[in-house]
Order: sequence, then structure tokens, then C-alpha cells
Amino acid sequence: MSSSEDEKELNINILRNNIIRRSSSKKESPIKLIINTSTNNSDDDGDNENTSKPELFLNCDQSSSKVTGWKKLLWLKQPYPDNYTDASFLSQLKRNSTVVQYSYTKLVYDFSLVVLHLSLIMSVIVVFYGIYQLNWNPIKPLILSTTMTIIGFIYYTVTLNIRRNKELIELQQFKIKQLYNIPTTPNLLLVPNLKINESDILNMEEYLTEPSPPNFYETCKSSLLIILYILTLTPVLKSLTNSTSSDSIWALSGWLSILNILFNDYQIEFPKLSIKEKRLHWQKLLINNYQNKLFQTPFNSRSPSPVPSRINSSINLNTSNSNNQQELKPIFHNNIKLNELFNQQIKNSNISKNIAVSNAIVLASRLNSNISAFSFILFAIQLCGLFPTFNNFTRRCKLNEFHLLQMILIIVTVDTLVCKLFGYGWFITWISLHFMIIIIGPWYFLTLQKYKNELQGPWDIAKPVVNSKF
Amino acid sequence: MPYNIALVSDFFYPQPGGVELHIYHLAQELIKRKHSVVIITHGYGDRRGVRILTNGLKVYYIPYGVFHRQSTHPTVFSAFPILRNIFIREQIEIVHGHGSCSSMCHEGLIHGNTMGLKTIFTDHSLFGFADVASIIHNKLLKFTLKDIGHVICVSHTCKENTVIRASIKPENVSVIPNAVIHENFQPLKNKLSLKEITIVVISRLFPNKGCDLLIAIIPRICQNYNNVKFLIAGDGPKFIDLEQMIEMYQLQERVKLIGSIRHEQVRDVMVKGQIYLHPSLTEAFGTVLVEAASCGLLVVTTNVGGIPEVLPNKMTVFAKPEEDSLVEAVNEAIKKLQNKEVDTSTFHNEIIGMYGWGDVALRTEIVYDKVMNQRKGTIGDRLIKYYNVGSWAGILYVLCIVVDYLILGVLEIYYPRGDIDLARKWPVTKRKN
Repeated sequence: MSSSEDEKELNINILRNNIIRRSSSKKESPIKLIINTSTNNSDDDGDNENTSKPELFLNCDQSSSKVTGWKKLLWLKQPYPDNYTDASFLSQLKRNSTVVQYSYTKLVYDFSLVVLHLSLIMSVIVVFYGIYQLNWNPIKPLILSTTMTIIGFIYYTVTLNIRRNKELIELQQFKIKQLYNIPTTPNLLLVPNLKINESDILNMEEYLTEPSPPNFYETCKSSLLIILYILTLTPVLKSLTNSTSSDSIWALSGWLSILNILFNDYQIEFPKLSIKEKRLHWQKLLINNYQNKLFQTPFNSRSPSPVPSRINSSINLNTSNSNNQQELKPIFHNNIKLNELFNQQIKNSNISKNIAVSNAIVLASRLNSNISAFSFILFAIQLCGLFPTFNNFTRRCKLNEFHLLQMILIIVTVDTLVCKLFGYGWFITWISLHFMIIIIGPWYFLTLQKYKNELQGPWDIAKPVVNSKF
Repeated sequence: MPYNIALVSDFFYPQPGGVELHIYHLAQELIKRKHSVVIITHGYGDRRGVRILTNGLKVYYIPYGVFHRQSTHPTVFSAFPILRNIFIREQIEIVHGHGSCSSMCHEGLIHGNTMGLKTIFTDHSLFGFADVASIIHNKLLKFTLKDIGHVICVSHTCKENTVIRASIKPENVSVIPNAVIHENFQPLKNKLSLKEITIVVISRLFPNKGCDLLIAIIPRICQNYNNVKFLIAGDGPKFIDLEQMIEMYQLQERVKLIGSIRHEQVRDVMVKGQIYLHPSLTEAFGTVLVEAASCGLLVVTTNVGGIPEVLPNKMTVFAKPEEDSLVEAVNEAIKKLQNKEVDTSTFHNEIIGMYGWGDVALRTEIVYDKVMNQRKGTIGDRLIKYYNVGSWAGILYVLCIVVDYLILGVLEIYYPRGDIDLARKWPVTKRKN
């Protein structure tokens, strides 16, 4: 790194620094002595291993290189020029630490979701084309989609119920086991007379990580309401764009479709807790629950409004003895993943669904009769609004074969319709688009990975880890 | 040999802050060492024109539109005429810019280079590489520092950061820390009793100062100890969250928020406590830590950025930027104080030996000497240097430099060098000590 000239310059600088500092300040002498001894020692050691540690987080005094005795400290006056660059320079630099190794097959699988969404949009367009141009009976596609929706909904509810009940049984078993273990394990509280109330059992529902199934009657009520709304509004929607020329409607619809594809939330990863993590989570909650009952600190009883139990509990952990605290520590680190799981519902964006509905309304306003407009809008809502939710559910529950079946059915149906209605030219374009997305897309994505150059180091803003949230 | 130095930055008094403090005290110490120093900054409100501060420190407040957070609009060329005028008038030899967020500093360095002056840049802050603002910033920094004489950073972490951001040779970067004025940060004569421990926090209440952590740990610490109080100075968007936390846990008796304070008051606030808590998430140097230690407080801080370099282990308790770790660190600090494991009364004198503006000026002077001995390359060398930055950026940079030379030529015709009056230097007084 440094040529002989540079070294000379360094030496001159060292000399100069020393001279100037000696003349300037008198109070340094004790510190200076310490430095000298430390450098001497390190010289005596003489081993050339570079001990610049990659993680010098807690003890910065150790971050010195043995060869030179230089330390990465500002408060220490060291016999080196200010522009001295140690061998440990940039040892904390991390490159591409968040980069994931992608597998081509996984990427193909992920990219196929784009094709699926594309096909959904295309199916709406195809059905519109059929009703508008070819005088299809609008009821037929509606009946088909509605039957599928009802079957899907029943399947959805039943599966969720089964999964949730399974988890509940698991939780009960776990709880019983924990209660048995109380006298032997010190971490679950040294409780002399622990009583289990009714409320404990009722609270169990809160501990479950599986989403709760929809209420059957509520769903029926709201869907009926929506259908009636659409039915009443159909005459208005039908004449909505009478004053606009068809060409602008096609352009508008095209743009809406493109936006729909761009804004769709292609959920690829579903955070899933392993059984161990789940158990830790439950353990923590159980402990907190008991502690809440046992340690009614003045702190809690004073609080004017009932504070959410999660906040209370995480604070309460501190009241227990230190032994307990240490036992509980690893539990905290799972919190991020848990939060992710709980926030999942909020995170899902509905922009693409809204765009899909507006696209359906815009297209429906071109149709001739009320009944065709109504059935077309309903069809579009079922396909672009409800089906993605159902598909996400199948993927979250790891029903991969079922997901594949759905995908193949839809894509093949749409492809055949495109071939029949639009002719071979469009069909070939459409198929090659599939090919581009599924085969070439992942390949291009992989080739771009080599340009990735992430730099991370101590200068990055640290991400704070906060347990209790407001 | 005394030099004529211009310190250029958007940030200067009346605005308070770390960079401003640094510039002022560096200038004062350089004047003490018989250099002639002027400060060039933009106008603040009606504060425009030339002001002369203590010891004949001349400040040029250039009337100039403020763009974002007290930095001027990045226009590359627009300040050239007035900067040239000032440089010639004050017979400047060294242009020393401060703060990478300051566009006036960047302009001063570019135009200084074009005029054949020696240039030095001091970086005060840390930047990441991931977000858009940082990427643009780093490109700009690369442009300015391509032809720089020498760079000064306030900490070793800052040096690593700057070397990567601007892709310059590490040999061209010196580390010279900030300092404090010890007389202004004296500890109390008689020590506070440990019956009641007060934890002081002085920080702007922004998310990147770790306010979320602060809000999370205060109730936990208050619950652990009955005799611990908090004193929090500073203002910002997180002030409301703090107030909410206080109300939620009814800690009005224990946590006191006193709002923003002036820098002169910092010491008076600090000496009311025994522990200084610094939950920041990023920090290039953290002068406030040195100030707290100088006031005889035990410092509890997160070990982010350049903080681990600043104070010796015995004055600090380090924590990770995590709630549990910080609570533990505060517990440890309280235990240390109660068991009398640390003697905070010696901190002040130790800090005097570690940090002083005189020392900073000395070390800066060494950099000045080095830069003055450098040979300036020709225009061709400079253009080649810029061209090699990148395929597109290189062309853009070369274009900017060529235009800069053209403007210099035009200025030489319309406002010839000979027509500009030279300012009389402030008479050099003899140093008392």
C-alpha cells in the first residue's frame, strides 16, 4: 500500500508530531508513558498475526492491531500521524451481507405468480370481449364464477377452522405440560398457590397464531349487501361514460390494467413460526399472564386506563428476579417475526383490487343491458378481488399442489380463450409473454445480481430493538 | 509560517450546532497561532455582510437563498463571482470547507481548486449508501473531493465512511477529533449525594437520536429504582411521544422535560445529574459525550458510529442499541456509582489531557503545512482525474470543470484581479501565554 517515499513521510510526521506535542502540552506525560510501554510490549511479542477483530462492538480497547500497537481511539494520544491508516482499516466493512442466493427454480415459481395475475386480468378482458362483441350470455360466466366462489369459501372456512382447532389443542397440551412442570422448573415462577381462572381458558384464543376463520353469517350478510348495491347502481354505472368515446375507454382500461399489474401485492414469503418459536411465544405469554395476576405492582394499579396487556406484560417482566430475567431473554428476539405475523393483515395492500374494480366499472359502462353490466362487474370482483385472497390462503397453508392446479387451470383456460377469440397472432404474442416472464425474467434477474454492491459498516444508522410498543 | 485561510461552510452562528462550534473555535485557535482566518457563510435573516468577531475573526455573510435545513441551493457556479472576490480580497491561500451537507462548502472547494488555491475539507457526519439522498450526496462528494488537497474527519469511523463514499486514498485523510472548552464544562465543586440519582439526557428529540429507545427504557428504569429521576433537555418531533409516555405511566414527578436549551446552559443542566444517557443510533463523534464526561458524569451510551472511540472505558458504560441492553447498562452504571467503583471527580482533568481546541488547531496546522507543500496539477491533469470517475459522471464532471474555467476567464475580463482592493489584515497581537 505504501511505497518507501510514503514511509519516509510518515516517519517525518511522527517525529514532528512528537516534537510539537511535547512543546505544546505538559499534562500528557502519564498517558504518553502508557503508550510507550504498550507499544514496546507489542513489539516484543513479535508475532505477525493481525488481530483486527471484525466485531469490535463492546470492547473497543481490543481493536488494536498487535503488530503496530495502534488503537482505534480518539482520546488516546498515539505516536502516529493523523493520517495514519492501520491494517485494521475498514475491517468492520460488510459487503452484501443481506444478499440472498436465489435458486432459478424458486424464481420461476415466484415469477409464475405474475403470469397468474396477468391471466386473471386477461380473463376479465376476454369475458368483456365475449359479452360486448360476441353477444355471449352474461349469466353463464357469472354462474360459473359464483359456484366456484361458494365452493372456495366453504373450503376456506373449513380449512381455517381445522387448523385453528389443531393449534388450540397443541396449546392446551403445552399449557398442561407447563403447569405440571411448575415445581421443577424455576423459570415458570415459584408460585405457591396458583389458581387457574375461567378467564385463563378464555384468553387462550388470543395466543393462537393462526388467523381466525370468517364468521359465516356476517360474510353472507355483507356479500348480499354488496350484490344489492351493485344491482341498484348498475343503471347509473351503465350510463356513466355515455359521453365518452369508446377509444378513450379502451385506453383508460389498458392503463388501469397495467397499473393493476404493477401495484399488485405478489406475496411470496409468508412468515411462519416453527414449533419451537411458537412454544417460546406461548411460554412468554403464559408467564406474563400469571405475573400480571401475582404481582400487582403499584405501577400498574395506578395507571388510569386499562393498558393493553402486551405492554403491561413486557414491563412486568422486570419485577421478577434477575434469574427469571435471564431465562426469558431469548424470547424477546423472536418478537420481530411475531410482529410481522400479526401485522400481515395490515400490510397487504388493496390498491390492485381497487384498480381492478374501477377497471370493471369502466368496461361495464360500455355494455348494452343492465343485466350484462351487473354480471360482468360481479364476475370481475370475484375473479380479481376474491380469487387472489383465496390463492394466497392456499399458498400460506402450503397446499402447493392445489395452488399449482388453480394456476394451470386458469392459465390454460385463458390461453385457449385468447387463441379462439383473438386468433393465432395474438395467441403467439400472449404465449411468448408468458415465456418472457417465466423463463427469461428470472434469468435476467439472476444476471443482475452480480452488480449488487451493498456496503454496510458502523456508520449505518442502527436499528433500535424495542420490545414494548405504544 | 502564517497562512491566509478561508473557512467555508453554510453552517455558522447564529445557528447553533456542532459544525458551527467547531468552525468558530478552530478559527480562534488558528488566529492565536498568528494565521489570518476568515469565515464565509450565507446570510442568516438580516445578518448579512461582513461581521468581525473576537480577535478580528472576519465573517462574510453572503446574502444567498436558503434551500434545505440551512444549506444553500446547490447551483455549482452561482457563488463563484463573490467567492473569487473574497478569496482575492483576503489573499486566501487555503480554502477549508466544512460539512458535506453544505453546498457552499462544495462550491468553495471547486472554485478554490479552479483558482489554483489549496483546498481542505472536513467531514462531520456519517452517511449510509442505501437511500437515494445518500447516493446523490455521495456522487456530489466524489465530485468535490476528486481534486482535494487533504480531508479531515472527526473520527476513525468517519474516515472509513468518507474514504468509501468519496473513493479517495486513505493516506489523504487525517483524523482530528472535535474538542470542548474545559472552562465551560466544570463539574460541581461539591458532589451530589447518591440518595437520588438523576439521569440527564440532552439531545434533539429525533428518531435517529434513539428517542424510541429512550421512551421504552424510562418506565422500566423508573420501575426498577425508586430514587432515579430523569432530566431531558431538547426539542423535536418525539417530544409529544415522551409526554405521552410520562402520562401513561404517571411519571410526572420523576421525568422532567425542559425543552430546548442554549449551548451555554448545557453545563448547568448536566451538573444536575450523575449519569448522562445517550441512546443515539448514529453519531460521527458525539461532542456531547465529552462535555458530559468533562462535567463529571458517568456516560451511558450506545456503541454506534464513532462513539466507541471517543471516551475511555472507565468513563462509559456501552450498550447495544436495544432496549434490554440499554436498561442493563443503566443498571450497571447505577450500581457502579452506588458501590463507588468509579471516581467521576477525576474525569474533568483527564478530559483536559485528551481533548482541547489548541491541540485540534495544531494538528490542523500540520495538515495545512502538508497541503502547502503539495504541487498543484495542471488543468489537463485535473480534467483527466475527473474524466476517470465514471463513464457518464466523468463526462458531466469534466463539463462542469470546463465551464468553471470559462467563468473564471470571463470574470478575469470583467472584474480584473487588479481592480479588487486587498483587505488590511487585523493587527497581530502578542499571545498572552
